[in-house]
Amino acid sequence: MAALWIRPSGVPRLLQRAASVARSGTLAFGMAGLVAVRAAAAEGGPAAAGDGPAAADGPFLYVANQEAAAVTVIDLETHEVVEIIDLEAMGYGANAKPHHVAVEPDGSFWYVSLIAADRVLKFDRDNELVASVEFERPGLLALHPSEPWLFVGRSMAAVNPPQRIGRIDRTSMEVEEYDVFIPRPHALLASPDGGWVYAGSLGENSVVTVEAESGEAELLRLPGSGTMPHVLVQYAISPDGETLVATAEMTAKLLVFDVAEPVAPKLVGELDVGARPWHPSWSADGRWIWFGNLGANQVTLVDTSDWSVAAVIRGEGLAEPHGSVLSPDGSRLYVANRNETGSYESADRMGYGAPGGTVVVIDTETREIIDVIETPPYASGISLASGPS
Amino acid sequence: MSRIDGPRSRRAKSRSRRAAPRSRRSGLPSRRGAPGALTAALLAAGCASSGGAPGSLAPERAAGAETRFVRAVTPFPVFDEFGEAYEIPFLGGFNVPRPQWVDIDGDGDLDLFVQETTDRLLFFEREDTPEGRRHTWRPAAYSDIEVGEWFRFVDVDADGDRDLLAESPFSYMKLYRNTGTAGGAAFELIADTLRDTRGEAIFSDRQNIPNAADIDCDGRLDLFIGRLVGTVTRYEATGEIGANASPFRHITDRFEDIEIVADPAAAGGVPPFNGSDGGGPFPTLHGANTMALADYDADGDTDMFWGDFFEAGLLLIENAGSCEIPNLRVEPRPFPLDEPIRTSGYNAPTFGDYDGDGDLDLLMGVLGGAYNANTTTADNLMLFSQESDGGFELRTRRFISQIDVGSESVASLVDLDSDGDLDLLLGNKIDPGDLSNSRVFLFENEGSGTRPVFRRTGEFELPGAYHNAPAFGDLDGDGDLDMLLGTWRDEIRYVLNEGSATEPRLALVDSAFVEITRGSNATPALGDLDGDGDLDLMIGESSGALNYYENVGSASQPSFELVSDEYAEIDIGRRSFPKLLDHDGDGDLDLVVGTESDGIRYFRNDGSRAAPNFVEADGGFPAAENLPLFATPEFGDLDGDGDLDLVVGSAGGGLYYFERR
Repeated sequence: MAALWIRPSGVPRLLQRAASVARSGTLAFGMAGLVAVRAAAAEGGPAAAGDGPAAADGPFLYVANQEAAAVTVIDLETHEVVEIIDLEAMGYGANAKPHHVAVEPDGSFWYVSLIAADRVLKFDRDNELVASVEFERPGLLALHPSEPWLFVGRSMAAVNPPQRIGRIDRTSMEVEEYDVFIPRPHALLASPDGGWVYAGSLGENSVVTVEAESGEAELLRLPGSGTMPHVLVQYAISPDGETLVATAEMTAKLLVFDVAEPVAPKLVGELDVGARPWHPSWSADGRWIWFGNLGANQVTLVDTSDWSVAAVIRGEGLAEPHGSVLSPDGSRLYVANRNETGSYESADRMGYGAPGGTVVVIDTETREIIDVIETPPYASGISLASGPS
Repeated sequence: MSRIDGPRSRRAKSRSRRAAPRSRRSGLPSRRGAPGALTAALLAAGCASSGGAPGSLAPERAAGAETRFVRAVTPFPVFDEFGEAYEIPFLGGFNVPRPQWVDIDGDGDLDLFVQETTDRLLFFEREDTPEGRRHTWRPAAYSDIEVGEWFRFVDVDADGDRDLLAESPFSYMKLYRNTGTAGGAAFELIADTLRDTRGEAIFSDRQNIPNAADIDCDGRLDLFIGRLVGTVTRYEATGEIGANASPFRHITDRFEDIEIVADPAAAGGVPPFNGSDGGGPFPTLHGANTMALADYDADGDTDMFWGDFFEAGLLLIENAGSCEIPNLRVEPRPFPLDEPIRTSGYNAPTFGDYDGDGDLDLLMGVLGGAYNANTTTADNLMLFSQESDGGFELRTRRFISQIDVGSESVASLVDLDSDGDLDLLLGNKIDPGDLSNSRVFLFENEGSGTRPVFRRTGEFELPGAYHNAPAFGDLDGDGDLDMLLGTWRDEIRYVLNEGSATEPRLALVDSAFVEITRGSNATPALGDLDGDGDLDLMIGESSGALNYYENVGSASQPSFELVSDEYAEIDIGRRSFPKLLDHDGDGDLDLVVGTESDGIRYFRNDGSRAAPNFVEADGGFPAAENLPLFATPEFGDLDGDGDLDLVVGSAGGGLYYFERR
């Protein structure tokens, strides 16, 4: 039986509101207060890349806007959009497809993967491009906690992407590649102690543990391999480094691994969590796991004390949620939303033809949406500085 | 002919080492006998893995003589495990074949184009003979056209011949106009980045392979691009091609409201995606697609076929309208309708009347999607013939039959049974039929030392390891060939021949006989590098460096001690695969190294037999261009003319053959 079908005709069309503002220079931004529109940053809009430091001091939240060739920079305190980095204007093309972002713990530099430009870029705190490196079809990014390494997985966007992950030296931006043996290595995470990197496949039910320094890999084939594929999207790991979870797109599960022996992960549980669970975030106290459900316009909260779904959060702005990240103090969850189908009606399209993306802010105590920050289209990867500036 | 037994021992290994040790010793208990005749021959030849023929090989050409390697794809017969001869045995293997049938030379039959690697087209001319239908590979034809990740021969300017659309990296589209004649196509690049009549670049994510046909019978070609969100964008040809004319006009981004969405439950999945807790209908998945457009049922309108990363089969979106007024707002159905095919997914179809019976047949490449691409690294070009009742019958899963053991093949040429000719052993990365293991397949030479005939007669099952890279030599001095086997990690396995030179019986005696200091994909090569009469060991690895281990034991009791894990500071980039042989015929061992993406590198020994000094030769290795990715060279005198011919394993899982001249 087919695994795909055509959505019957007559589904709601995207709203085709005319863009009311130009794309650069003097944009206005919708934001929190759910649909209120307010000016961003300096009067009239955010600074363009290369115009010098952003008005705010940070810390900042960085959001990749995959279908807009842009990265949105948001002040973490005020939730103001302080800058939109226009990658097309920087020469990377309208279809550069920035996918994921990683930020140095002190916020000094940040990195973005450009799927369709085969590049990983390095920016400084002032959002100045300081380096870039070629890398075929880069996807997710993962910082090593102690060594100057940035690990890079592969995106979906290739007929036959390399079965390797990259290890970029964040100082020299030189790349070393590690064979991981699995097709389409996508899910990617470094262990808290830095000893290991975990990669997961979109193309088969396999998990690979890679020794971070040597690149030596161990392969774990998951039960059910060859039948229903999980399609592993992304990992999160417990603060003690002993439990790993993976979101599985096709089976809509959260897979739980015991990684007390990192080289030999053991699949110890599976939890049904709704359609298309995407990028998970694990709370610093080890109790909670948060992730958006791309296929259900919701955020799911899993209680690891009994491995149950503790809450499902829906509401304004949650529209094909993709990336998630917790604030350093754990009080806020930030969820990036693609909103490709326009189920969230943005106050302003900012000059883009497609519906805008959003970042939804959730109070982790009350589990309520407290803010919706509008961004250019297709907000995907999201990250922030995890430590003090 | 041979079998392999399970391991007897495995050495413990620390998983937490942080620094690479400078030396490591490995050895075996003393075994019987002095070096036998075969060992002596191997050492004299200076090529442990290629000198299996009795006696010494004839000297190579005099140093400095010009050497050429000439590629041949059908140099001698090779038979598969069922006794069927491969049509083109040394084509190199397919992993992600993207086919299109088209009569490019106007001779009335369907020629075939296949894209296996980025930018490169393979052209197979259809040449039927009284013995049957035949495809002849024409390596020079269309070889200079770079097509990115996809290609389509379609008539954009409606002049009666096929133009060429292809990807312009990354994810844009370029157009070559056919300026040739009906009997001979010639292509001229018209636009490197196609723009529509609005001036907007036409974009198609490179994993989404477009197609084109005149869907509404108005005489203008329609171009369809599948989007990541599952919709289909339609452009229509303007009929104009030129530097200042846009060949396509944008029509819609929602052609026929098609929106390919996932239904995991239909594929065996679980959750109630459409239930009240699911948040509504399941949206599109984030994937890749291909398509074909053909009137498969000869009802006068054009139907659409859809292959998708998340679809194990092929979907038919049947045109329920007419030629002039198409209607594709229908539920897609798995195809063939009577017995739908299932593969690893991401299937790439093309239609044509292959068998000349007046209806359309189907050729389908399997690119490998969500359903485990490793299972289709060999069986991935499937022919379905349409029968008289309209049904489609699967005829073969290997339309172009060739040596193909999966992916990343590694060859050894040795006289394993001492019958005077070289046998072929071919390891793979992972066995498509058993994902828990790799295999080494035996192609026994049933011909002679001058006229080889290979037949696949067996395989070695080697539990618990992937990416087998065999290297042979008489390590225990008993006159028969033993094997070191590289694996996907850092370990070299030791497989001892406990039979004889004529009746080999291979037994795994140590799963970690040698462990390199770092990295993975350890690939061993044996040769006497210090002139002391025993076999030393060179090991390649993922990082591209070379590891040299001196045999500080003896010809009958090997003990390998690390001399350098960055030998001679050679770094070939990635995936070094060394071979030791006297390439220039000056009596000492030279070093030839296969690479991941840089073909074969040649380091001439400017030192001596006892004190090598490897210097990269000017002009590089004298092999043909267009060597495969993951080139793994092996040498052997297959035609008995006294020089060493070359076979090269490839990413595609097959072999390239080059005759030395």
